[in-house]
Amino acid sequence: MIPEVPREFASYAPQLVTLLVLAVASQRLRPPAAIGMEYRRGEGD
Amino acid sequence: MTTTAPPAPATAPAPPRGRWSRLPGWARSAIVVAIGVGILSLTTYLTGQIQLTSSGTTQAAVRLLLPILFAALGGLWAERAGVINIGLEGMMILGTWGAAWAGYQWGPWAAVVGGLVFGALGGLLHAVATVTFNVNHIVSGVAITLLGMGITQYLSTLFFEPVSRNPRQSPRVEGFETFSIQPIADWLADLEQQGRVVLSDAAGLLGGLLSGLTPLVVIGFVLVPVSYFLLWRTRFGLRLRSCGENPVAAESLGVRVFTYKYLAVVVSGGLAGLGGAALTLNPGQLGYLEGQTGGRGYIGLAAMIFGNWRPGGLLAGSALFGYVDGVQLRAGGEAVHALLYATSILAVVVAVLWVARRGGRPRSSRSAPGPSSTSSTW
Repeated sequence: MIPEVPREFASYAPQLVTLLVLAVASQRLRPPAAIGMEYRRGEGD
Repeated sequence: MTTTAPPAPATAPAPPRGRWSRLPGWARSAIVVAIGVGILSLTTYLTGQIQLTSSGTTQAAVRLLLPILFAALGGLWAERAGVINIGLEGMMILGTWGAAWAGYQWGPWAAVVGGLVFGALGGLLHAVATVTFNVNHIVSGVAITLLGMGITQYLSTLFFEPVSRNPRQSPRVEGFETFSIQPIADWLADLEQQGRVVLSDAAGLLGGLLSGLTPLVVIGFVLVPVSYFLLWRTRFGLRLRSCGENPVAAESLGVRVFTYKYLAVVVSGGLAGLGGAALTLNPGQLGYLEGQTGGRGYIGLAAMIFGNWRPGGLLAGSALFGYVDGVQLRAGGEAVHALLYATSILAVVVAVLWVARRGGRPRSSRSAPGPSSTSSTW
């Protein structure tokens, strides 16, 4: 058993938390429907 | 995460409405926060890591969450109008430079304005590329991030090196004076010193939020409800969000989609630039330093996605990242280890709650149990 987390790991804790939290939370997310889509004026169906 | 894939059907299966989902939103947030404080104070009690709930840690966390919060708000504005903003990082870098350049000459308020303007310029570029010329949003965002790094290196060699004798650093910028909300802050500090089990932990966490404030912190926290109000409670916001949900339908109803998208992306860049200004005016490191942002724009984007493209959620996400960063900065590896301990307690609590919830209900109420059914409660 290591008594404490290595310093190198500790400084990356926020990034690791980001990864973990996004992996857990990504199941229930609903982004805006047309996000990242091309849109040109007057070309709708 | 965000994809440019064909439009996925956005109708996630609605979770079964239980007692939990019938509670109003603020009550749910309050319960989650109370559970979090309880677990943290339990961890502090069991491991003796008093830094986990000290007011100093909370203050560090607030300073660290502020740039992430601004970036996340910027992401919210752009993505609600349907433009993916990977370029937040680049706009933030532009903001750090603009804030340092204006700040060392004319003081902290000029730094705020400088960061805002430079970030908004980056946002304008992103808007021209993605809205007018229909460039892929990811490509444009990456290009803006690279451009931000290059331009700031060039400009700081040009403007900062003659003054600071270092092309990677600006002269020192004058920061804001900090203030505390009295007399509550003193009273909470007293309570923290007394070392009572849960009360002192809560007092430490809250006291850190009320002391060592700068005007920029206040602006950041005020902008969360302001964004909520503007985007969800006004006609302007409804139109802006309709551009992100279905621009063709919005156009058919007379919404000026181009104008709204432009406005949203420029505001987004301005907010990211404010995040850069928050880094430049950080009391620990006053001034521009190359590579200062350290991917905080991306973390802000992640916080916004974690918060389900909502202001309250992104505040929670940035608070989480800011807190973890503050703990590791102030107390180092042992405290992060204690945080792992807290995480395992949290996992046990969640498991117990989950079992209790499932146990009191007939199995037939579960529709379509599949491999994802366990995670769908999240």
